[in-house]
Amino acid sequence: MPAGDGDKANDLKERIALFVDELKKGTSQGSCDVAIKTINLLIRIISQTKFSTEKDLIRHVAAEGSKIQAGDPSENIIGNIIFRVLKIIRDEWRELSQANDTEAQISHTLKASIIEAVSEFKTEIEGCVDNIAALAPNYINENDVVLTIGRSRTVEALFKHAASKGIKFQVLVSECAPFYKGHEMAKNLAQAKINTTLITECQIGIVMPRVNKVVIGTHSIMANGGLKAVTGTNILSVLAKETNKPVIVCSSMYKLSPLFHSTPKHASFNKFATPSEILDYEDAELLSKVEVMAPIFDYVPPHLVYMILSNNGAQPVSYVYRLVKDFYHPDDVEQPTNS
Amino acid sequence: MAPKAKNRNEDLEEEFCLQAVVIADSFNVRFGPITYKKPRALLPLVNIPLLDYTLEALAISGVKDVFVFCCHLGDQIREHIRKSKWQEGGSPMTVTPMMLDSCRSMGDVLREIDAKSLIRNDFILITGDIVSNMDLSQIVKEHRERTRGKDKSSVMTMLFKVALPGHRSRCKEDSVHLIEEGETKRLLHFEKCLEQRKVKVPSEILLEHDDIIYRNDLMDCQISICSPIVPSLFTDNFDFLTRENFVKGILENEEITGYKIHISIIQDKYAARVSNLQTYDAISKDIIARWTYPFVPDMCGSSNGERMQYERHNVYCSADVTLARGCDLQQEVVVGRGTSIGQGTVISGCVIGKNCQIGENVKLKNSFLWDNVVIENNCDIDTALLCSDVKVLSNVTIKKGVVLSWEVVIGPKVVIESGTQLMSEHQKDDWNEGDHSFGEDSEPNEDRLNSSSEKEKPDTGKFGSKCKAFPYQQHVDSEDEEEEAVDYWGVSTSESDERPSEEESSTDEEESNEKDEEGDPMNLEEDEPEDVVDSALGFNPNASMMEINMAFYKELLDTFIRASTERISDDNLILEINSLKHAYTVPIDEVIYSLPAVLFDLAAEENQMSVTANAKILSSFRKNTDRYSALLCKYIKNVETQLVAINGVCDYVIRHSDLKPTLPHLLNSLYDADVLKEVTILRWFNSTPSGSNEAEKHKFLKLLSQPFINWLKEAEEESTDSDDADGDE
Repeated sequence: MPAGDGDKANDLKERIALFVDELKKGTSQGSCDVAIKTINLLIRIISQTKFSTEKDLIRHVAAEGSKIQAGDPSENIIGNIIFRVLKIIRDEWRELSQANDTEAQISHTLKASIIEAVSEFKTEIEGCVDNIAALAPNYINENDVVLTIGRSRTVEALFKHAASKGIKFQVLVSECAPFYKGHEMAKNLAQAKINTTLITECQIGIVMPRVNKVVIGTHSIMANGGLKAVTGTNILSVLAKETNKPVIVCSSMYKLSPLFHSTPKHASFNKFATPSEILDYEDAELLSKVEVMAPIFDYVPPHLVYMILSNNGAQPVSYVYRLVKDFYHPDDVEQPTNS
Repeated sequence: MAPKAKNRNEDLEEEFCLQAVVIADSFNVRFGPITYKKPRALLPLVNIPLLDYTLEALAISGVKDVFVFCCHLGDQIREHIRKSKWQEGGSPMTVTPMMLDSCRSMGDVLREIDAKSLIRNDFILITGDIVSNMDLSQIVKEHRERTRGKDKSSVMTMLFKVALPGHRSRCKEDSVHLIEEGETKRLLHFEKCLEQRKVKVPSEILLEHDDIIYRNDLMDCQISICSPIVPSLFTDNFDFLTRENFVKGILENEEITGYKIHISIIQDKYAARVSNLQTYDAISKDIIARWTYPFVPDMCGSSNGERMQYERHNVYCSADVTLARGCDLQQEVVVGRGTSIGQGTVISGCVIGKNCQIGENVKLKNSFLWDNVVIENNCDIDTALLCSDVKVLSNVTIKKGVVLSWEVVIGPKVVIESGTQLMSEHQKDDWNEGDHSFGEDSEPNEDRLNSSSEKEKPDTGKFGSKCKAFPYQQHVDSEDEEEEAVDYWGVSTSESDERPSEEESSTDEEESNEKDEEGDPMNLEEDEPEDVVDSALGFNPNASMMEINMAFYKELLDTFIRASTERISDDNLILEINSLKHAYTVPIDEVIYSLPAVLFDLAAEENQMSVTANAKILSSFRKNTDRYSALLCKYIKNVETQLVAINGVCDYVIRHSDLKPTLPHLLNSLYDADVLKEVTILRWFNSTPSGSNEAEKHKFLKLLSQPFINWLKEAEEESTDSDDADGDE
């Protein structure tokens, strides 16, 4: 990189470090926030990179991307965004190379068109939650009893939108121990004048027969349509299946990951938090005798999921494979981002 | 290089830039043979240098400026920092290594900081061996609010974590008793505790505060938030060596200086200090069990981007580990990259570094292997620490608590007894002091005793035919862990330093002695003869005696001598005694306890004789008690204090054995001077102390004082007739 760009490069490095720091601390505000921050960084990376062929750019973006991903390897969204951007680069290049003949012309316009396309993608992400919320009247009916778990911004927006349309329905929120995000959710819904009841996880089985449908958010959707969602979601989905209640997943499309539950060489699927939420550190005797696991995510197999509500409309789970093919290029995905 | 932090404690950031002082030296040798080659801050803990944990903890706390003070082997620390990610562009904080070769204690470092005036704001004071996942900025904020608000005089906030006594991460040397004021969280009393069962609480605390909480369930995290005045306080008080000195000093002089210390108790988060091998073990286990989340092996790889895969039962494996078929990583295992593990090997509770080679059918349990360790087939290792480049040849059994320092080679076919510490080269002379504690049963063994007969060649009989190992000599043979903690507790940290004490010897000896005595009355105990049962007395005279600060006692005696020659008034004398009490930080009981003894010594001094049962001395003692009766009554006012005084007299008599017959006389003098009341004396006489030694002693004293008591009783009977009972019995 030329010397004149030194300041810019340093600035970028700082920004990446800050974001990585934030990921490590886990202070980011929801998945949309992560997605937007990632895409902002990628736009900067692309605009600062000097390249002659698209391959150079792809290599560079992938390398920088893996640095960002290293902040939290289990945060699939970062990887998804990176793969999506790489795909955009490929597409733009192909389009341009079909229209133009000389390489000079291509590289001249390539950067600008890539940035434009990526910015468009960014706008799409920003509108995701609203798009999904707008689907609410189709899926939430008068006098419905809806069960959800933990806190999802998308689900919250969906419920609030339904309520604003004058639909009267009841929400049961499972509190999602030991992180108790459900408390926050219940509070927010109650403030929006929605009939809300907070329940514990162990009550899910009891209330399930009363419930009309289960509406949940998810951390990400794996390539087979399975979910990587907050702990407790799996048992919730199993119970829903038992009583034959539909499990509707609200998820923006950027949460769709090209990876599978057990893709080898990729970062571990799950994340394990500190046992301090569950066990007191002060109790020395117990401490040495037990092994505490505090997984943050559950894997929900695809057959337990009824439907995915996305910004592109409702999608059946069996269609996910097709979406993955559309969104991602196999060459990008096969290169593990965090080797 | 201030990054554009937008979300992190904006108000804090705008106001000031948070600074931290990292002291990357422990000023002791708890890690025995290991730290002679590498400073403690760079020892790997779960394959990451300790200092990196500390710096990460500061980074998540939003610290902007870090000063790392390096003393012992500081070049290595400086080099480490130079290569670290903190020196790259985009680092959220600047880390500045400071070389201070001459510093020999934490106090020295802080005085140096004051001299260089590095600190502008409240700062975090931390040692270079802390593991924490706590966002300290919250505590800093609390501290700032406190200093801005109602408690302007607060100079320090100390961090504690609840961990019950006996907790694995509690360092026995550092365990404390403390008293906090309930609502304000102000620290009122702070005392390091040994295994002792009794706690002395200054009565002022009980009198002055309504709401106090006594706690012994806290673990000192060794993290403190300090006001910018702290370094200058260290400069003012050149005898502050450690933070403990500082805390005690501030608390003792609170009435004079008005400075206060507060505490903060960590909830949910983790913070602990690696202060010896025991805590090294415990904290490693905590990291593996993810208490330190997000600082766990699979989340923060070491600086070269190494990242581990987390598997069930807390097993962490690097990507390129070679595991033979049939090897079993049971639970709580960390395996660094490039390591290969052979067939049939069973591992549990171990941390294995980079590029280690572990052979077939090896049993590894609760052990720590650093980088490039080679273990050949059929070894059995339990609770051992193997530094980098150690080679254990085939068929070696290593028992609990063994430390093999850098590049040691042992084997084949030997059994290493528990508690052995080996070095790869012969121990140099300046390395012959130190200690360590590890494992449950590190017994004194023959190796250590034999090693005194300076052998230049390795002991092939003991450590195997191909060995390259020399025993590391400890300067005290310890029987078990608890005792060791007690042994070293009293010694202030700089004295057991890693380097020969040239500086110490060059300073004025008297001054340094005085300093020691002031800092710690316990030091004196060590000079006294061993606590043994005196066959003539039938009890152990030292065990039941109050510890007294000899420097204080001497000064007190001098004051009295001066008072009697210069005719100083009682009021002024009381003032002087009180200031002495504060200067030497002795409890009031000790003053009372010493007073009768001082008066007797004064009597001896006046007659220019040594302390004997001389009639002249006795009569001048009687005169002195009369003369100072008012003063004595000021101190000895109620039953409790009278009992302390009686105790003082008794112990004095026991100490000077030829005074034994005079005990009735001494008590009588004090009785006549109205210092001791009859009721109290009788109460003392009739009391039955617990403990066999105490009981024996009391029996002995009763025998001595019997004549006086008889006389007292007779006088009581006669007192119906006459109030004035005159004369000796």
